[in-house]
Amino acid sequence: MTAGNRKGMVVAALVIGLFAYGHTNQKTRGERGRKQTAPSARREIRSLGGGLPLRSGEPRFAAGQVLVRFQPGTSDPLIEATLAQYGVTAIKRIPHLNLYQVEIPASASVEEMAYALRRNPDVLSAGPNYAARITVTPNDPLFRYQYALSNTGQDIGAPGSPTGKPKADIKATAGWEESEGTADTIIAILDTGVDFDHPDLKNKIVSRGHDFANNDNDATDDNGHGTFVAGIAAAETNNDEGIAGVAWNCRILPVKVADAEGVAWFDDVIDGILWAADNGADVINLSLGSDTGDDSLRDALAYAHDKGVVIAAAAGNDGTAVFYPAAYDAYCLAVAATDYNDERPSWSCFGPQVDVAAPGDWVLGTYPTYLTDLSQYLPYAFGTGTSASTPHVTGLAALIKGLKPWLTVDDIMNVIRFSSDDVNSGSYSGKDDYIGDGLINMEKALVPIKLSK
Amino acid sequence: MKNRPLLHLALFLIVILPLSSPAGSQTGSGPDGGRFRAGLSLGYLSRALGVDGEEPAVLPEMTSLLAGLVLEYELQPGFTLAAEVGYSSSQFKNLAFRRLPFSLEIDADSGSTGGLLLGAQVEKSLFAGASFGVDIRGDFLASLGFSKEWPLPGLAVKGTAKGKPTWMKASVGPVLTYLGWKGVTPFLYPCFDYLWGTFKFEETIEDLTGNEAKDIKSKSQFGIGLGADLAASPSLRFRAEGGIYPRSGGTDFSISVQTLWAF
Repeated sequence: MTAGNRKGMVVAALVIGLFAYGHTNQKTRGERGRKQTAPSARREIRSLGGGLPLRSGEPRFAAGQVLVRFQPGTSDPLIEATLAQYGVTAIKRIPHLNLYQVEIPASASVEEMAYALRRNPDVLSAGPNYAARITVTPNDPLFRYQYALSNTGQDIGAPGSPTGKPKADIKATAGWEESEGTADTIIAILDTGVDFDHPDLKNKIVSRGHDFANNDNDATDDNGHGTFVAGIAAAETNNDEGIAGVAWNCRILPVKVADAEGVAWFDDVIDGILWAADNGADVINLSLGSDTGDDSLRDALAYAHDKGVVIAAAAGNDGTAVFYPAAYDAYCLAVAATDYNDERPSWSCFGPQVDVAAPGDWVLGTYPTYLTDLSQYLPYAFGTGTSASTPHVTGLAALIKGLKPWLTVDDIMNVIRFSSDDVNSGSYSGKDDYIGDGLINMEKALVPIKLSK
Repeated sequence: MKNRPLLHLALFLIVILPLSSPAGSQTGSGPDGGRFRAGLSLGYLSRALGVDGEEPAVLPEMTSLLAGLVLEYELQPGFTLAAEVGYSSSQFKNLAFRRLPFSLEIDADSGSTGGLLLGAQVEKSLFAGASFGVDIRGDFLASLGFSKEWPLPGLAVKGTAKGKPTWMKASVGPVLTYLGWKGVTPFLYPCFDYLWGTFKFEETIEDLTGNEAKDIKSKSQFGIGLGADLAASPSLRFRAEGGIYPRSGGTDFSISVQTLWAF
C-alpha cells in the first residue's frame, strides 16, 4: 500500500488511541514527569516494592504465636504449669487434639520457643502457626490490585483511589479451581506488539510474531498498549512477580497491527487476523476499533471464525454505537466495560451488538520495561477502557477452549454470554445494549453447575 | 456397551454353572419341586464409582433404593429361578459431566432419579450335609432410569439438563449355609460383584446444546454377604441379607429384605 492510500484510510483506521485506555495510561506517562505530585496509580505500585521487583510480603506464620500439642492424657494443671514455665499464654485450645495456640513473650522468637517446647517430654509437638492460602489465589504481589479478577472491596490502586464493591469481579479465583489453562492454547494479541522481555510475559510468548505495521517478523511493542492487553489476558501467574493473567498457562502470539502511535490500518488488521488464524491462534484479542466498518474486515473475521478461532473485540470508549470490528456480531464477542462497582462507565459504547462486559476501569496490566524508568517504576500500569475489558473475555475464551477443545466457536461464545451476570438488572433486566448478557463470570463458565432438585 | 463381555460372563455363570453342578449335590433338597413363590423385596445399596479416564479427588458414589415384586419358581428341589420387577430410586454424588458446554455436577442436592427395576436370580444347591450346605448363586439387577429434567440455575437465559442413568449389577458366588437350626438358615455369600452402567445427559440452553454419556462402574468387585432365611411357616419365608464390598479407600455395602409366599 502506498503512503497516499494509507492517508486515505486514516478516517477508517482503527485507532487504539481512541480507547480510553489512553486516558489513564497517557496520564500515567505524564505523571512520570512529575513524580512527586498528586497520588497516582503508578506511585502506588511503586510504593509496594520501591521500584524493585516485588515479592510476596505475606508472613508465612503468625508472629508471636506457637502451636503446642501435648501428649495424650496430660492433665490440665500440668499443661497450665508447663505453659507458665515457658512464659507463654494460651489464646485458644483445640481439645480434640490437645492443641494450644499460645502467645509467646516478645523476647523470644517463634523458632526458639517452639524448639524449647519440643524438648519438654509432655509436649508432643510445637511449631509456628503457619498461614495457609487458597491454592488458586496466585502469589503475584500485585494481584491484590486486580479487583477485576477478585474484588474484596480493596483500594483499586494508590491511597485515595476508588474502593471496589466486594464481588464486583469476574470470579477468577473460583474459575481457576477448574482450569488455569493449557500451554497448547494460543491467544493472538493483535495490537501494538508485546514486550518480549517483560518479566511477566517473556515465558509466555510463542514467537516473535509478525509486525504488519512495519512489515517484519518482530512484533516488539513500541507503544505499550499491546503489552498492557497481553498481560491482562495471560500474564505469567503464580510466579511471585507482578500481576496474574486470566489464562495462567495459555501462551501469547504477538501480532503487531498498530504503529507506535496506536493507529491500526485496516489492511494490517485484516492481514493480522488472517495471519493469526493461519498460525495457530485459538483466540484473537482485538482491543481496537473504528466507527466505520469494512466488508473485507468482516470477511477476515469470518475466515478466522470458520477456522475455529474465538474473537473478542472491544466495543469502544466513545459512549456511542459499538465500533467495528466488535459490531460484526456473528463473528466476535463485542465487549463493553464495567467498573469496580459493577456499574457501566458512561464512555463504554453500546448497542445491540454488545455481547458481554468485563471490568475496564482502573485495570492493572503489564507495561513495557523499556518504556518504564525501572529505577522509579514497576513495569505495570493501570488502564481504563474497553481495551482493558476485552482481554478478560479473551482469557476466559482461552480457558474454555483449552478445557473443552471440542466445543465450536459459537458454543464458546454462547458459554461466555450465558454464564454472564446481569449486573445491571435493576435498570435493564435481561440482555441489554449496555452490557449485553452481563459481566462475564469465570466460575459459572468453567466450574460444573451443581444441579438441585 | 464396553462391559458387554463382562455381562455375558456374568450371565454365563448365573445360568450355566448351576446346571452343570454334580447331581449328587442335590441330595439335601426337599421333595417338592415346581413350586411358585411370590413376594416383595426391598433393598438398598451404595457403591463408589469409577469413571474411565478420570481420577477425581472425591470418588463419585451411587446409592439406590430398590423395591420390587418377586416371583420365584423352584424348577426342582434346590434349584430356583426368580425374577423381579419394580422401582429403583438412585441418587448420585460427586459425579461431574465435563464434556457438556456447561459442566454439570450431580450431588446429594440433585435428588434421586427413578427407574424401572428388573432382576433375576438363580440359585442351585450343590451340596447339603447335616449341618452345612453349599449352593451356587447368581444375581442380576438392572435399573433402567427414567429421564429427569433439571433447570440450570444462574445462567443469563433459561436452560435445562436431562439426565438418564442406567445401571446393571451382577454377582455370582457360592452360598455357604448352616442347616443346623430349625426354621432359620444363616448363610454366607462370598461373591464377585460388579456394577456398571451409563449416565446420559443432554443440555439445552437456547441454541447451545450438548450431550454426554458417562460410563460408570463400581470400584469394588468382590464382597461378602451375610444373611439368613427364616421359614415363618411352610408357605412363608423371609430373607434378610447384608453385604460389604471392600475397595481401596473404603467399603461399599448393601442390605435387602425379602418375603416370599408359596402357592
